[in-house]
Amino acid sequence: MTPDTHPHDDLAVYALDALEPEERAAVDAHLATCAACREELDGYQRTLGRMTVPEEPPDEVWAGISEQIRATVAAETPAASATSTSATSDGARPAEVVSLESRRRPGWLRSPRVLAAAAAVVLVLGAGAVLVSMRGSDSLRDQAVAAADDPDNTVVSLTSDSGEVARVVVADGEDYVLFDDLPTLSPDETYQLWRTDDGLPTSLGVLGDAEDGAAKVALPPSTSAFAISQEPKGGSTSPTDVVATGQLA
Amino acid sequence: MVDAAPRPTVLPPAQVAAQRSVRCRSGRVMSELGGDSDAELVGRVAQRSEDALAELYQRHAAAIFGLARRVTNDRQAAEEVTQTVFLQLWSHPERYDPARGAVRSWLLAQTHGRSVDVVRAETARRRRQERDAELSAVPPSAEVETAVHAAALAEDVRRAVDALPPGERDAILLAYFGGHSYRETAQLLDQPEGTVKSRIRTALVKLRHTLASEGVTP
Repeated sequence: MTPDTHPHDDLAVYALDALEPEERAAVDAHLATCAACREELDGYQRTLGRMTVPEEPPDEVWAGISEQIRATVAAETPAASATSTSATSDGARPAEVVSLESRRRPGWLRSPRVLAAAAAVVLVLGAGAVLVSMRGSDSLRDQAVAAADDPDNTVVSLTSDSGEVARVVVADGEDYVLFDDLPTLSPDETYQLWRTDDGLPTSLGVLGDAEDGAAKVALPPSTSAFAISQEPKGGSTSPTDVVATGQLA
Repeated sequence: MVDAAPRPTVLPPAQVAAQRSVRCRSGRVMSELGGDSDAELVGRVAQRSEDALAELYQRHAAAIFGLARRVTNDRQAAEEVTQTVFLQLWSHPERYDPARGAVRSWLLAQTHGRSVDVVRAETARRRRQERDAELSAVPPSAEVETAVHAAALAEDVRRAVDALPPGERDAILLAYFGGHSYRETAQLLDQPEGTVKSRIRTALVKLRHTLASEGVTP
């Protein structure tokens, strides 16, 4: 056997979404530089594509998609995207982004409740916001509070059914989330921040367990609608259990 | 944010096809975008063509919904996954990298990932409830049975899967349709993790060759 640095077994398991997150990240890194493995993965994915029996979705699935596309297109018109500077929110929920779910059940905008711990950890996809979670740093909370008090910065109030529970501080690159009244989570859970301006929520990063009272985030420009959800450790690709929402008024 | 001219309506794919349809040789009704490759359609989606998205939906929604249903075992969750996959395609068509393979494979990979998220979130919720109620978990053997036998497969694929040694078959079905990580799969099957990994690979390679030798094209 000649030495072989290609992650053959892991590549197959990767194709099944069955790797542990750290292994998945390693395969991702390898794939970025290895055309042979990209080709091998493509072969696995084609094979897996054959494993499914097609089934026509009901018409309302497309209806929901077209409805949400119309909502995003409308939101992209200049009038609708005019920047607002007001800093408060009544916690209005962006019902239009979840039409199918909201018609039939609360969906991802369920009322806050404690979510179970999950051993499985999934990769966070979505917007590439870089996020630093600082453990055990008293000063992080202080920095965030100072940023919130700075009149030059914008503060968005995030509310649950019981009132304001968190704030997003938009501070021109030094952005924060302040946990004002969200419970500290167990080690296998995390809060996750979402942008809900668009047709569907985009991850702005995981926020940790709220123990420090604040988290540092990097928000993409012109984000005005936010949600915080409770997720299994590592985060999810779409919100599991939304605990607070808010937007620029 | 994406620049796009507002459009008043979006027709359902069936209506799009009916409005501007031609009949291709196989008799299937196709829209005038029907001659475009999937990759070309993704390019049009990037230019905010809703018709292109509708055409991609017509081509792939059934496979996506079928896969999501199989993995989530929940019709409504599968509908939501299907919507999410197409809305993500609409929001981020640039994430499709032609160098990584076919559009369909990519969409199905997205579908599988999202479906697994749903399953794992649901599992977490259930574990919490079970802890609260001090119920015992479903015995692993029952879960293996369910995942392996609930997998409805096309006839040729079923034959190929049944031809695998049971250890390989169970590993791939538990991981792919059961949404289990290889570690969970190893626990369920009471096998070493490394063994499960290599069995998954062996099974995939065998399936690939069997299906290819039968002249089946993806």
